[in-house]
Amino acid sequence: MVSLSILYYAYLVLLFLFFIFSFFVLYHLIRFGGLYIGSLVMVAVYIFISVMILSISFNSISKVDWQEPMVINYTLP
Amino acid sequence: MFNLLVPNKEHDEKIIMLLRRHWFIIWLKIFFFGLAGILPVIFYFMELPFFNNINQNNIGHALLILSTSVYYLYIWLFLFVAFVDYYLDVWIVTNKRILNVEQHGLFHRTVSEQRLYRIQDVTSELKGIFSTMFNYGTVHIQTAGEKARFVFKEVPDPHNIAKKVMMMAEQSKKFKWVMENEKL
Repeated sequence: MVSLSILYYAYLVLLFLFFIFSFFVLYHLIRFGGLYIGSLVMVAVYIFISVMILSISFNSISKVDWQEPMVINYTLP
Repeated sequence: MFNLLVPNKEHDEKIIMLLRRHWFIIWLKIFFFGLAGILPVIFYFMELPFFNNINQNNIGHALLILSTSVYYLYIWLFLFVAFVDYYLDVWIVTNKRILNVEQHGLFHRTVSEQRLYRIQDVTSELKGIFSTMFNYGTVHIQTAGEKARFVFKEVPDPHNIAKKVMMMAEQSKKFKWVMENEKL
């Protein structure tokens, strides 16, 4: 039986890609925009909102039992 | 900031104009991204039967949580990429040169420069309802160089910018002519 954790691992892959792209975006902003107050504020805002989205997500994700096997129980309208 | 934006800064070179796209451009993108962000909330409150059925199923419930998380993370990422793209596109006019610094996505950046005295023609263009309302447009600068045409895209008050650039180009040509004649 396939458990729900396979979906969770796929999510982690997408999360990893998100972190990679975030790193490059922030690198570009600091490298070409400079270490000035404007750039630093934008970096801080980006990290803050990303952390907020992630914490809300993991709050919901932690409520799911990922070891549960996948059960298809769809009711047609 | 000067050294970061202007490569190979010359002696007594000063930034006269530092231009970015008009604020309306980035706010329009923020608006559309915001709209995309609100859509799942609207669907949630509409209580569509499709979503209710999916939520009853353990796979559906898990997928809904994960896909919503990914959706919002990537919307936020793409919005920030759009902002960085806007912020790092800069057109600079110094007392000696014009510089075109453009960020094309994340891994592509071009920097072009040209001497003021090599400017041959400057044209400004305002096109469209929003451009006219908010007074932003394009400035085309024709030069005698490898990159024949510099384009300042969606900059505020293009007519005045074109006038200023032309005036500075004329002054630069006169100064160059005087310097060359002094040497003779």
